[in-house]
Amino acid sequence: MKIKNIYVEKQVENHTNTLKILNKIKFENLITCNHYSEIFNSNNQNFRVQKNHPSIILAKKINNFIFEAPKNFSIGFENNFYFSHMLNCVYDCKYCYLQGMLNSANYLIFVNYEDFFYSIKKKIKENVKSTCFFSGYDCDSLALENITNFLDSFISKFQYLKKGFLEIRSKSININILKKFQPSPNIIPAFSLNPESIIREYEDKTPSLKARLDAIKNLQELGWNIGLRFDPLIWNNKKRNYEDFFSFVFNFLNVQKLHSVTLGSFRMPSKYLKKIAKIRPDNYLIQKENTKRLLEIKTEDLNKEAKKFCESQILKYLPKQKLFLN
Amino acid sequence: MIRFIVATFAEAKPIIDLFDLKKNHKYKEFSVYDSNEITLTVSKIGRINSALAVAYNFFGMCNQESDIWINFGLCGHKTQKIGKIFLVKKLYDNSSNKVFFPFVHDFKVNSLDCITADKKNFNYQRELFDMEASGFFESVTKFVSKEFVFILKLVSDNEKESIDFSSKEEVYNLIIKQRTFLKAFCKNLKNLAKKSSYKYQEDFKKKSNNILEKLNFTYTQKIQMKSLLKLYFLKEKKLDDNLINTSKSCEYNIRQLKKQLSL
Repeated sequence: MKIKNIYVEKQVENHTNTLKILNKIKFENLITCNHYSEIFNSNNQNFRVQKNHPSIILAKKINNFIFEAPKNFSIGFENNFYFSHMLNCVYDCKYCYLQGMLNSANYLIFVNYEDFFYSIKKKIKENVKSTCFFSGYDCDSLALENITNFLDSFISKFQYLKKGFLEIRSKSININILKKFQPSPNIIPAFSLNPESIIREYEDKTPSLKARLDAIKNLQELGWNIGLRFDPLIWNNKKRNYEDFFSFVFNFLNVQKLHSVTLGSFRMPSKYLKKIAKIRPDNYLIQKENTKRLLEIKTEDLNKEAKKFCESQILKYLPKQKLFLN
Repeated sequence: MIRFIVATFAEAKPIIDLFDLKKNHKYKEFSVYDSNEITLTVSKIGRINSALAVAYNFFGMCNQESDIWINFGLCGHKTQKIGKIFLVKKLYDNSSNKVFFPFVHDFKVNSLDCITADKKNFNYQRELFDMEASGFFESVTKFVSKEFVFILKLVSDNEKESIDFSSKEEVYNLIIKQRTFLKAFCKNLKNLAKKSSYKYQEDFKKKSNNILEKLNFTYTQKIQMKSLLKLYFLKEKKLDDNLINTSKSCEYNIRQLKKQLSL
């Protein structure tokens, strides 16, 4: 991977993970900083321009390693948390909320993975029932693994944690790291899917549907239980498309080797939507949602029918207890 | 539009000649030279003057968010050869101890750190040394995204040798040697500005304003109508003047367009 600039916080200059990452990237400028926020948080940044020339920032996360997941967000576990060892993503999905949440499109990697693991272990201890940890809310968990080595160090430790489950969410087909490990019942690789026409229109730089399904099938054959995430499922009003899509997905994959399936519609906090509408003036989906925001049209009512339809389609192939609606 | 902020006339003259800029007599407080695509302001020496020149540009001239800003000038360095040109990637302000991180694009030009100080310093460092960059950068990034802001410095003196700053000819010759680079650099920047702005922005703005003027919309209605018109424009690739019915109320027109867009 070629990146022009790498910013490194002084405090992690000599961290093992920093040195490993620097070894893997061709870069021109190594720039030190006191705190990542000097580069990442400043207000006057253009997300779209940065997306074409992203830099990498290596930093240390000091606190707040894990967060409680939104209330209705579950794949069957009592306790649900998410964490982000990285912020931002190599892909460029037009509907992605990160472009509304963050000021910068640079890849921010927190290299102190050991502190994330320590916090997770502590959280598991605090809870009597099983606890699920979602990785990949604010980044793609697999796409940059070749550089970050995050899962390499994490999976080897996590697989021995009793009562702890790890969801690795991704759109990537970079599954080599998972092939390296024996399938583990408490580690759930999960892939976001949409119909191919939606992928082409909205999910820039991501692998095709077929490529993702091939990767999933490959992992299933190796013994992994996979999560499918139709979330957000972008709806284009053509029921037939979605009927064909679900049929294709569930007939291609081994349904027995699916851990869980989630279904969720496009939703975004108003604040983010307002910001994205400014930086994506030419995107119909974003402008439509923003117009609905301005005209105070409730999205939920409009999506109800579509969601119901998709649910009924999925349940043609999947037992009800494996489907979770977000 | 590319906006150069340059400290002295001696440093500005080669740029003025290279891009065939003409003095604009409309502006009295600063010397401004311009063409259709480039404007250059002579700020005078020092970070405060540079910051003032930015504000003067921003408020005194017609600005767009996609304008490109360049602080160009001579600088010192401990070892770098006279005549070498650099983009600044990290900037220290000696007076305030503030640190800034300009965005470094994928251009084929070397980059270095730079220290801005209030007085000329002959104790050369490993960083470039100048007297304007931090004032320029702190000021300009109040108004525009840092991806459109560049600090371009040309080495004029080092530990061993220096040009004669009192010789305008020597300064001119040093800078004009970089003519090929400067032309290519500005061409790249124009492309950056072009790529960053929405292709139909001006067309939409003009047409939607025409339509919005036809009825007496309230502030909120105007925002809603504009958003609906944008959506219509994205869908149909056009905005007809007869899209609204002037004999009907604003509410009616909003409702109709909403219906037409199946919202």
